Amino acid sequence: MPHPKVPRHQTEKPNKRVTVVIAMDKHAPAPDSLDVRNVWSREIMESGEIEDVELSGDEEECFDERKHSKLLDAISSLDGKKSSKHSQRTVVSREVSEFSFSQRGGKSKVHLHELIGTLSKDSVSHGGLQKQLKTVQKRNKIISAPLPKHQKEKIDRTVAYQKTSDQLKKWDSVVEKNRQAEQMIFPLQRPNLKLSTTDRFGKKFKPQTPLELEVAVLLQGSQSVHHQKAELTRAEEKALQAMSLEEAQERRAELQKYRALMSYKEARARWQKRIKSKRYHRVLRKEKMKNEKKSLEDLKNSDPEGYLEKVNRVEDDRIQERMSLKHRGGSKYSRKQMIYAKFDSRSRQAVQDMIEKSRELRQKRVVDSDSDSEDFLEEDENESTVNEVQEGGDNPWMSNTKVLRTKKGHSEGASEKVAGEYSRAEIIADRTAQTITDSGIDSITKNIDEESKTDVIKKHISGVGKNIEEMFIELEQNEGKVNKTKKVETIERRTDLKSESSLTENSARKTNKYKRKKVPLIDEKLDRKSTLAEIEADSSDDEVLEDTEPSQQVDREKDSSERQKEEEVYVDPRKLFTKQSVLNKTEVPEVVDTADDRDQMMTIAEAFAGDDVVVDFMREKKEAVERDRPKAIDLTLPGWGNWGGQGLSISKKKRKRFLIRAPPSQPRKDRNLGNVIISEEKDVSISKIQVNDLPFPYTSVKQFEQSIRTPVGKTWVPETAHKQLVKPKVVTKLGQIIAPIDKSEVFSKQKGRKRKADMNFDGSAGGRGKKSVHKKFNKSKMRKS
Amino acid sequence: MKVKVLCRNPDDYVRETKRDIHKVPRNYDPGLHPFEAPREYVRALNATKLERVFAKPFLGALDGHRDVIHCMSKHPTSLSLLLSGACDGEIRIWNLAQRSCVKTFQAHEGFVRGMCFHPDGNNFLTCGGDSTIKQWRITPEGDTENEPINTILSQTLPLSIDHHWSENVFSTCGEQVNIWDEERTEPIRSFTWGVDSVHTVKFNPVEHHLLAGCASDRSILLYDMRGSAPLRKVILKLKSNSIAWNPLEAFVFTVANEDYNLYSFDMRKLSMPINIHMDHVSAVMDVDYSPTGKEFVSGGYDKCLRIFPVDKGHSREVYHTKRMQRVVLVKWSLDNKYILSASDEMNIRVWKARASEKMGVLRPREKTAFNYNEKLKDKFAHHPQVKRISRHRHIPKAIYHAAKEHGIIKESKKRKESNVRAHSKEGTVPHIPDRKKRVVAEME
Repeated sequence: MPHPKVPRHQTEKPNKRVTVVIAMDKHAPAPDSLDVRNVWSREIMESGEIEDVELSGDEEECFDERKHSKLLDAISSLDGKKSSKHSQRTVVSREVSEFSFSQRGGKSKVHLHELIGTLSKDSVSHGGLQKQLKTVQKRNKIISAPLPKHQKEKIDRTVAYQKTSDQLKKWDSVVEKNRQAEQMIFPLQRPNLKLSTTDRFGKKFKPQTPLELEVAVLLQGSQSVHHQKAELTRAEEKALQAMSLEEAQERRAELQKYRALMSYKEARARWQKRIKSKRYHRVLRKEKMKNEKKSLEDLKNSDPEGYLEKVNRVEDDRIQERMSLKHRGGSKYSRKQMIYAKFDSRSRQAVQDMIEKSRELRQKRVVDSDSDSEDFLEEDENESTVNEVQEGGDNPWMSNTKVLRTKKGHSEGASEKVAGEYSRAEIIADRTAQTITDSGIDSITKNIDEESKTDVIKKHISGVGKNIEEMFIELEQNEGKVNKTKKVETIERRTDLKSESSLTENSARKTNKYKRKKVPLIDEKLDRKSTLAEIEADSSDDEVLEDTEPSQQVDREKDSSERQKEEEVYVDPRKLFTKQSVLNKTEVPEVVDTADDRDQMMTIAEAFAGDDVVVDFMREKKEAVERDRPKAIDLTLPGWGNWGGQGLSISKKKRKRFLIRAPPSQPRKDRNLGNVIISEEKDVSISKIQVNDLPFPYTSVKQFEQSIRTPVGKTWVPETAHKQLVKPKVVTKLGQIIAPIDKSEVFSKQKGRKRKADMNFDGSAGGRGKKSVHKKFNKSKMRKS
Repeated sequence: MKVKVLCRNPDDYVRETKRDIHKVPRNYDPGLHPFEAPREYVRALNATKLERVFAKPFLGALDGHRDVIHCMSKHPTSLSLLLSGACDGEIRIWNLAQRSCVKTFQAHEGFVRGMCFHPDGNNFLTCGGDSTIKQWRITPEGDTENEPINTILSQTLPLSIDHHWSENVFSTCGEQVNIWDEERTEPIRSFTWGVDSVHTVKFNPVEHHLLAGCASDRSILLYDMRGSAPLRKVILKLKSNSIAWNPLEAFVFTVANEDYNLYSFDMRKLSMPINIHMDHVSAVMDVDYSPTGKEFVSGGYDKCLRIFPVDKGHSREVYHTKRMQRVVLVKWSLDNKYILSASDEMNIRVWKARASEKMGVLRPREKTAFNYNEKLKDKFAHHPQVKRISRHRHIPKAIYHAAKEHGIIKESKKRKESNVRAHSKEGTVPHIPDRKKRVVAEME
């Protein structure tokens, strides 16, 4: 399209300036008529689109590449060939549109008739259009005026805001949850790591390593690999084909049957395994055992060697049981049952069964084969001695060694010789005891009354200090008496020789013990023994149980010991806190009249000669009471309202008036506790580290105190709990970018949609642009400037 | 016969390697470990003291700019890259790990007004005082060509720029808020409301189509990119300098205000802020959220940075150095570990987000020990000694005195109000919550 307007402009402006019109887009409708063209040129003139390029005159201006290219553009557009250029803004203004279709400013309107006017009138379709236009213009009804712009905008804004706010409501629950969360682990979008099933893996699996490839070749090439769908393997089919028809059919049927049986058995085993009933399993087991017994007997007749082997295995079982004590509290189950046994008859039964079973297992079996019998016997003997040594408690030989050891510790003054003699004495005594009880009991119980033993020893020591030879003689006599079992009681009553009596008492107790037949199956109790006293009490209880016929003396002794215990618990300082009495108290249980002990006592007394601890304490307490008692405040001023001076006393009336009496004090906490001072003063030092106000999330002091009291450290709670307790509120991963919460993910999760289980880890999980953003730059549209 | 002996399984007590820890069987009977609370209290106290001992937050400064830094941008996919633009039109690309400048180039004539990364991290946009918007390509190593790949001459002077979080769309602000498509030279949408200029605009990181901006007529403006009209305008008593969206809560944003405070708003209830964060003693210039959305950092004209928990009214931490001048920009790194600040004296500083945190990889036992200490500090936080030590900070004299003065002013205002109330007819001076007083108007 040749445009004559450019030269015209040039003629109009002869001031060496080339006015360049960058024409419209090629997509724009081609202007036909002159009017439109005029309009356009006018508009272009008015707008800032016209670009001025200095041709000459400013030669000194530095050569600008950009301007040069602009100039070239301008020149090339002079002939009108390059008309399809984009307009582009080169200065800051709002006036030019990207496509230069129309003017944003709208300074001159294009009227309807102008547009229609350009259409050729002869065209039929256009004629119809004109008619339509005319009718529209004829009607020309006035519609209501639109709202003022600011009002309309306000309404638009309100509606849009309302809508957006409503849309944001869906975040409420998510935000609340995140705020309350005990722990948040960032980045929130973590890769989905799921383990695939074997089936899925098998489908995906492709052999890669040489070994895998080899195996795959073998499996594929093999004829005898069974495929799930096919009934027979290829090899079997081939074999069948090779046979005669009947044979083949027979063989085929056999194979089928075999396979069916296999699957049936498998199914049954699976089904049986799943049965949880204990009773069922018990019955099953018993049946099994019965069968085994039967088979064993059969074996005995048929195959003696095999039988022997079996018996050996039983022996092994015995060893196992003795080693592990599985049925006597060795296993977790049995321990549990023992605990329940107290409350539940069934578990009691179970425990009994277990113990029986254990006994059965531990029972020694004697094999009556000729070759082994001697060896076994020998072994048996050995074992029994070993057992005795191990069980040791009431073994006289063992106890003697113990006695010796303890004795050394106790009395330093006693000579070796004396000790030896004494031990002899006790050996004799013990032997007598054994002779007494030798009647039928050969096993010795494990429970030893250690305490009583040591008591005996102490008494013996005192005896030794007196006259050893004399005592020995007496012991000999004693032995003679003891031999006659009926006279035990009379010996007991004799009190002139303490050693003697205690010996007899000891033996008597032993007889009692030996007489005991029934041992309770569970002699441990479930209660925890926290103090020594409880344990003692427990042991004394045991004694009561053990002694079927407690002798008078034992009773008496126990009474005395109890009394003693009571006395130890409650000591009234006012009455008993004197040095003498304390010493006396210690003397009570045993008669100390040896020179050694007396010496020691004297030295102790000398060491603490001027140390009146109890008296001091009493005084201190009195002082504390006095100090803490609220005192009256005397506000009388001498000489106030009276004559003052030396020798003048303040009147009683005045004193009474100015004396502020203290309120009666609260009763002291330690008023009934003789040997304790409890300070009534408030501790100031601790208030410095105490919390003054109840902190925010707590609603009561008790709650807060509870939270402080509950420890979180590893010292007090197990490792796992500790880790749970101290887990941090926010966890981040080192070097990982934390992306904002992802809307699509949050709400897809909420809907419970399952995502694809893909194992591949997306490295850019944390990035800002998780969704791939495709960038396309149309360089033809946007030029570099 | 088999000989039986008592034996223990060596696995129970023998270490596999020399570096293994010994197994220590423990008895948790409370009777054996008395004084739980007092012992834990002592541990908490020690932990608090140690925290203060090890509080060395300053990591380093990046210097090199020859004019005041006007904008900064974090790389969205690389933690070590940082962009900064100065008032002389220079842009520098920094490697934070090496604390070195990777590249320097002149991007604009006049100020670099704003910059933002494309979410894929391969290019970034800058706008400058020469009214151009330029797009630059950047390699993962931080290298870029000297020429932009695209330049747009804007209709108006852009004051700030921000990129959409997922699409190829960005927005600039100035006389009006424009939404641009990267493939066009014309904005696809423009928002205007009144005549005042908007100086900051930020896209919402969660609901991507939402924008918020601060205008110089003391207002905060909200936009929805999909609509044609702005959503709402809130006018505060003073101008807001900067705005930041919470990356975890779609509707919460915080503005840094000239009146020394920061205000957190719920964009659905703009009649009053949900929280006022006080502690600065001069205008707050910039604010940025931690990527976890639990805290934010602010920098102010009082030459210090402060870190606020989102739900607290006062800061938990204050950072300052002698040479740091007015802080104009703050950024919280995307791994939640570091804070970057740019100040008037042309330096960028790198700080730790938690002052006493041990940097680098922690061994599991170390980690549990730190966790335990944190828990203890938290548990005994209300005890006076612990509280005193954990709150104790050395701050510049100026801040200390200014804070004191502000306290006095606040107190006196409060007293005056109560006096007025006491001496006027009942009900004529109503109680207005402080939060409500801060908002002048909410315009529809």
